[in-house]
Amino acid sequence: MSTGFSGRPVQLWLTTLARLVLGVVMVVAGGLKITDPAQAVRAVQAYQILPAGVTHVVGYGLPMLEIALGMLLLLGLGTRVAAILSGLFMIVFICAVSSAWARGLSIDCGCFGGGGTVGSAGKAWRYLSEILRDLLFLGLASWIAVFKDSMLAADRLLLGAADVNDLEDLPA
Amino acid sequence: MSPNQPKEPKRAARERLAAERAAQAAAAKRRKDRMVRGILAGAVVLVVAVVGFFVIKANSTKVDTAAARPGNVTLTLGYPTGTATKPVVDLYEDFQCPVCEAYETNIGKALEALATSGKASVVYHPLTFLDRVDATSASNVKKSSTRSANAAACAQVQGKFLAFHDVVYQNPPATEGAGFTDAQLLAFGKSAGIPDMTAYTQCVNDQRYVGFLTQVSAEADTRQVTGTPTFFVDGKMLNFDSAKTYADILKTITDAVAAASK
Repeated sequence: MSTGFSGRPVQLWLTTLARLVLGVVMVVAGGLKITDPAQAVRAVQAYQILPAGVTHVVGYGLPMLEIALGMLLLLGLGTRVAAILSGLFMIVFICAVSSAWARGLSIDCGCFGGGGTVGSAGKAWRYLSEILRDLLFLGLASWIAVFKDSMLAADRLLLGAADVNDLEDLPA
Repeated sequence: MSPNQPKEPKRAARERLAAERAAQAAAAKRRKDRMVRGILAGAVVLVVAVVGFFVIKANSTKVDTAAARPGNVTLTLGYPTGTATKPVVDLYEDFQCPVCEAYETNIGKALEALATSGKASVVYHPLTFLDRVDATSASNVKKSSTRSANAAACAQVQGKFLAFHDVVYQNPPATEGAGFTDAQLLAFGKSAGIPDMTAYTQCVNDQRYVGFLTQVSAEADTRQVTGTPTFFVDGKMLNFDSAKTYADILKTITDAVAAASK
């Protein structure tokens, strides 16, 4: 990973910024859902993708996973794995929203709590803006996964600054 | 060639050995680093899971299965209107829901006519999930969905649910989250023509049917009601995704009623 850009202060701080933004987004998104679990389950049900029993598992478990990944990103611990998993989450969200759009459902994504069915006014724009926003987060996650070393990170503390970018076979 | 030549391979061997040891040490360090970070990350996930479990537990509403019901309630915990017993049109609503208000304005009277003409039993189920929209509002309007649904149950006790329902939708919250004050709910009851206002006022102030409302919400959850308004005709949830106008929505409902009446 010696592209000449990796390891430079500008890359390190940019990754730190991306980590903090994505981390806060994940923690807030999960936190809003976990404090209203019944609504989180309704939001999952509204997508009409998962069978009845599974919606509860996802409604309760998804917010916890979001918070955990967000915390890891904020701490800069296992940065690459956390970024890759966060990116996969975004891909799943994009698929779910696209599928709801394609099926003509009128739902609020429930991305930041809330969710459920809503009126059909401005449906296309709402779905499109949700997808664009998730694409932006996917971009941040990809950046972090590629340029995983950053300032103010537990990984850097644990490995020592010199090691982080040298360990090319390191998955995390 | 110099006399040192025979010694060269030995030195090379030593260097190679040293390089191998260094590589092994580096690999061991990598494994250790990976394990340490794995354990720390696992600890973070575990802490989140434990804290999350308690947060979920604390924020889940307990269903008060023993709570008193406001009389004349269907098996699906709604208030039946009209003279017919079937087909059943279930309507799930939330008095704070602006879409419910729009439905009420556009097709509310037509629905009531279905009941009064004896074509269907229209059953109303007030839900409380929009309490979250006034969570940060002034304390006298907090939990407006629960308080208004409780007042509706108090009206139901005196046979005035539908009249109360009509008055509420004629006086929607000015903005989302503006909710209703208790004084408003009492005034709504008066406008609805509730005969015994003393009993009604007591019932509203006591929050008498809040426990029953948790049963209604739980029942709605088992029927996969994810928002309001939601309609069922004879137990089958209606889908308005292809409806473009309120006339389309009303037609979807009346068609389902006609099909269920056959």
